[in-house]
Amino acid sequence: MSPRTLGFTLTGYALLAALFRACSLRVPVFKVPFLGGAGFGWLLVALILGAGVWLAVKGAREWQFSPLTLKQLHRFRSIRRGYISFLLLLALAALAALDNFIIGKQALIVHYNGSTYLPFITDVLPGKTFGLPYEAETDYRELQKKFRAEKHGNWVLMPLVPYAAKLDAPQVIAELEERGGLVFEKGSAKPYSGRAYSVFQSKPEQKRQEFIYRNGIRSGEMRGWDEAGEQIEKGRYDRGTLADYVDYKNGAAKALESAAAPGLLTVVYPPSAPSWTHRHFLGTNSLGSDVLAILFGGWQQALIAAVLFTTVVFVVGIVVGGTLGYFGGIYDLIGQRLIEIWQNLPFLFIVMIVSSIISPTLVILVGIISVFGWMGTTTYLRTATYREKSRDYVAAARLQGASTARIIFRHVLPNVIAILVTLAPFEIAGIITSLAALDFLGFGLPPDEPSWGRLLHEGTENFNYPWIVSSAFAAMVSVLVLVTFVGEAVREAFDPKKFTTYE
Amino acid sequence: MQSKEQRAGSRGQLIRRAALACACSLLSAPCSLRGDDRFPPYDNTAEVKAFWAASPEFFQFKTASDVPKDLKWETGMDLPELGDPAAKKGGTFYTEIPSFPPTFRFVGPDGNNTFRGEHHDNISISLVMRHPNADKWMPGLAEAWAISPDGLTVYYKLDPKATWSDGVPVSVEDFFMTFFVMLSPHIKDPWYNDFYKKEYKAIAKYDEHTLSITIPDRRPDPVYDTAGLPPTARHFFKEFGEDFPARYQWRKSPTTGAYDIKPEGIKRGRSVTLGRVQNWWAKDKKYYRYLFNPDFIEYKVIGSTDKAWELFRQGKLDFFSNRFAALPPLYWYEKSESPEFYNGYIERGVFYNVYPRISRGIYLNMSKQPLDNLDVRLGINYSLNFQKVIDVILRGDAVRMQSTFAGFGRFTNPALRALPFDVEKAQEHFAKAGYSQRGKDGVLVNASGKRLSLTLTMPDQALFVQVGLMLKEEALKAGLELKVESMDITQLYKKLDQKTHEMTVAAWGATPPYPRFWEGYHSDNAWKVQPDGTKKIVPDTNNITMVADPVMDPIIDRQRKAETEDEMQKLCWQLQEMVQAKAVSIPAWDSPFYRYAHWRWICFPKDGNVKMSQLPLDSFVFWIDEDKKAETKQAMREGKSFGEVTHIYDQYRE
Repeated sequence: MSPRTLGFTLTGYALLAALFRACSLRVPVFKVPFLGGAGFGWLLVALILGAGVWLAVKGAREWQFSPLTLKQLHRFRSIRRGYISFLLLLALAALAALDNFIIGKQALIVHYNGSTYLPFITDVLPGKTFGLPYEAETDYRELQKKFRAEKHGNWVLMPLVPYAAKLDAPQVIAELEERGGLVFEKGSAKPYSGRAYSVFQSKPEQKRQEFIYRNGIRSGEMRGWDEAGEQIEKGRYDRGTLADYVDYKNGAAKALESAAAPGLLTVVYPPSAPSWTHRHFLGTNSLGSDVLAILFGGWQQALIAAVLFTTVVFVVGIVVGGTLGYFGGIYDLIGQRLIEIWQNLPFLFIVMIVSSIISPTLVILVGIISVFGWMGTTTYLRTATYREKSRDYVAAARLQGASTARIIFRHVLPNVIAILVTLAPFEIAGIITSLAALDFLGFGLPPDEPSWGRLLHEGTENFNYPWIVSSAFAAMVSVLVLVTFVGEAVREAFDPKKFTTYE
Repeated sequence: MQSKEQRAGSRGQLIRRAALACACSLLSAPCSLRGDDRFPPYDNTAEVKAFWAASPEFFQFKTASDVPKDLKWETGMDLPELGDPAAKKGGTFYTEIPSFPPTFRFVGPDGNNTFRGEHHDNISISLVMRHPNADKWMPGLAEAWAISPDGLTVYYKLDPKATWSDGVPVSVEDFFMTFFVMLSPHIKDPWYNDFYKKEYKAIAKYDEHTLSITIPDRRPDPVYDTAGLPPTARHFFKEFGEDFPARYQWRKSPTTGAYDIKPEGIKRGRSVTLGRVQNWWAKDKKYYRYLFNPDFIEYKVIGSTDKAWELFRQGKLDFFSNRFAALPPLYWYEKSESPEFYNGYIERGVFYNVYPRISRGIYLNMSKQPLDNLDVRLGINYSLNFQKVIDVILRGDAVRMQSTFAGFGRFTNPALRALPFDVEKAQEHFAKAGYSQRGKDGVLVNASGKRLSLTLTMPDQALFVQVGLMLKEEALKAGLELKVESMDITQLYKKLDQKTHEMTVAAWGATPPYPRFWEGYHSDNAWKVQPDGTKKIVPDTNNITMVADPVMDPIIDRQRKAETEDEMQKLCWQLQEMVQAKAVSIPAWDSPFYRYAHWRWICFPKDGNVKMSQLPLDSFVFWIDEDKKAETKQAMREGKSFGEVTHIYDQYRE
């Protein structure tokens, strides 16, 4: 892609982002600059626009990479493992940018009484918009069921996974069926064990009777209620036969026999197993939130954290490490001692203290981790700058009268950037692991934010629901493995030696 | 590579070193058996006598003829028996505690730890005890008692057989000693200093077995206020002095109860074993003879609840419930789906008890905007969907508590009702407070654009976090945004002490007989008026709702000094209505029962337990049946099934 094309793309993106924001539409890929708030978002959009216009106007029509860079790119592409991992990660990042287009609880399109709505990008649409009796945000899943039952020509299109990553824990209710005298869960071959209840035909939210089943036969406590919700009967079943029956209201229970809707229902208490019918493809966690949605939300958090962390650490590394390495002397001496003192601070304790005083947001958490994690990159860059500074071409430039700024920005830095590129994937792996570790211990993000570490912690406490821990584990392992493969491939691609010999 | 000689030599060296180490440890062992050299011997007998002599109007030494002749002595022997006559004595009861107790003292730093209940509060016999089924007084250390005509003094006749667990008889001076200890600054516990100074006016000795205790003001039942005075063994606390916390850290004081901790029962960090006192003085007395049946009770320290469950299923623990009153749904439902339960080797029990309820709920801090507006508070009440929490998270096993004063019998106002989840009513009240428009994200805003957003602080335990997130999801329907803040519990206490919270989940423990209002709702505990007229928040009090109502204050003061039960009831009901009207204490759920699981060789009486029990083991009515244990082990080997057993005791259900 030439600089001009890049410029046009950036300008287009910035203009569209500004346009959507001005119309208060939150379109998935174009809302990324505004993740940090309105002010910061407009600033970012302005910067992108500026860069795009400048590139489009001043940029060359063609761009030639230096032969060295071409060789490095070619070598990277030839390492299939790293290259494919890189493409996979790009694809996953693109998926993350799609946000509630693929995973979310707001509907994509709602067609109601002739008008079309796009709830996933507009502001909150109250229930009254679609004829529901409440003013809070519409429950689009319930709306879809309602429209399907009414058959008035209205329809709702939900995303692939119709659950949000946070604050979305609907109840899962399953139907039971009777086959050959035993009660089974619909579609299951094993007789049902657990609680089951029937509801009133006229008032489906009120239970009529509740039984306990063991291997498809009633055995255990039984209770019954009237329409007002008061308990009117109780009994005990012993292997299918009723014993100890008590009717509190003298015959009222008998009169209600026909009031119950046919069929038995049961509440599938969270955590519930993966189920295609309920669209919980990886099951739910102990609160009832969809595991796939939480993995998605956690991946978005990891991406944001990775970008922020890498930016901060690299900027600080270049500034501090570069100046320490270039200017040296007493400044370097003092700077290094300060870095040593800082390195001895106990990272985990301070994070725990800060976490218990305030409830940290993602930015604050990444800030704390970068405050304790910038030393590594700084040292690398200091060494690299020291090495470059002692090279002949820098001496030659100085003899020719180049200013310090020119030497730093035109000669030293470009050669030092190679190290940053090699470091980047491992820093990303580091921050993802640190974030997950803090969340696992409970000192990270607040409980209503989706995070892999918290899901992993929940999974280890609930081993008898294996889908929680295996999903979180698989997600973390795959992403970290992909990042590591990319890192290794980059390192090998940037290695000046093509072959290494052992003596 | 070592040669054979080198290896033999180094092995020889190893053996020599090991022998040296053994010898050192053997030599040093007598050093530790000789006693703690950190604490030089000390005798405070003279000090104690001087203390008593210094306040003759408090510590009165009278003669037997000074006892009034016209007293009506009660013996309390006409109440129903406790426990089951079929109970067998003997066996070791294995149970668990989450962490090793920090001390065996019952007062002083860390003195009020959770383990104290197991070796002190539930075991010690006081002068008279409350009969847990009949709710009347039954004899304890005292075999007879009488109230003076003016209602300020109660006379007690000690049982001559009453002895401490080390054989020394209980004497009247031991009760005098209690004041020496509890009023001393050496215990480093100002609450006890204050309590023992204010709640008692005088104590008098008449003869070796008769004493009387006088209280400063008339109370509905003076026996309540005097029977709780414990004796403190003078011979054991002879060394009580300035180094009390350190000196007595691991010394278990002798007890008047049935179980004692011997030094060989303490395995530091791993387990504590209570052993039955030999020839316990009350072992054949009515009300006590069928209780306290196991010979040994071993508390293993097990950190995680999951591990405790697995050990329980293997039979290494006899009982599972110690940490929770109402076993969480995970254990009661899912984890109980296992062969030991189906075959009846492990039995489950549900007991509906009568006891003051823990006032679990959400408390609003009135000193924070906008919580000073009554309509906002009422709206919040209507926005909290506790019913859904009960139905889903607690699987319908709990009920909505109707007020934070539930469980006090006649002293709980029966007309109090918790406000249900009602989105329309919530919106109505919020609109009255100015929050009538819905913002772009569905949260209500007022005219100046301020969003209705409040922080709900809670301890970082899994159950509360689940509850908080569910309440948050439901509150959004009413337009209220709750920011869930989960904190470490010590940090949470600090935050509540400083009154910087907005909404918090809190639970106050409650003891019979009367609800308390002064700590939680009196303005002295909320604001302090400075000399220049400004108000400052008073930290470190129980008044976390910052209620300061000049109309309520005098009624609270009167309630503390109520003289008859009828007056107490009237004032309690009135105060409870006033607190309810302020809508600052939102009750959560309440389990009207406790439930537990145990191996079938642990037997309970036919009616399950005593009516006023808070936890299943506290009443000690259970016993171990060794025959049943052998039978069960045999059945487990053969694969025989007894059928699934769940006992439900709802005879006391309200």
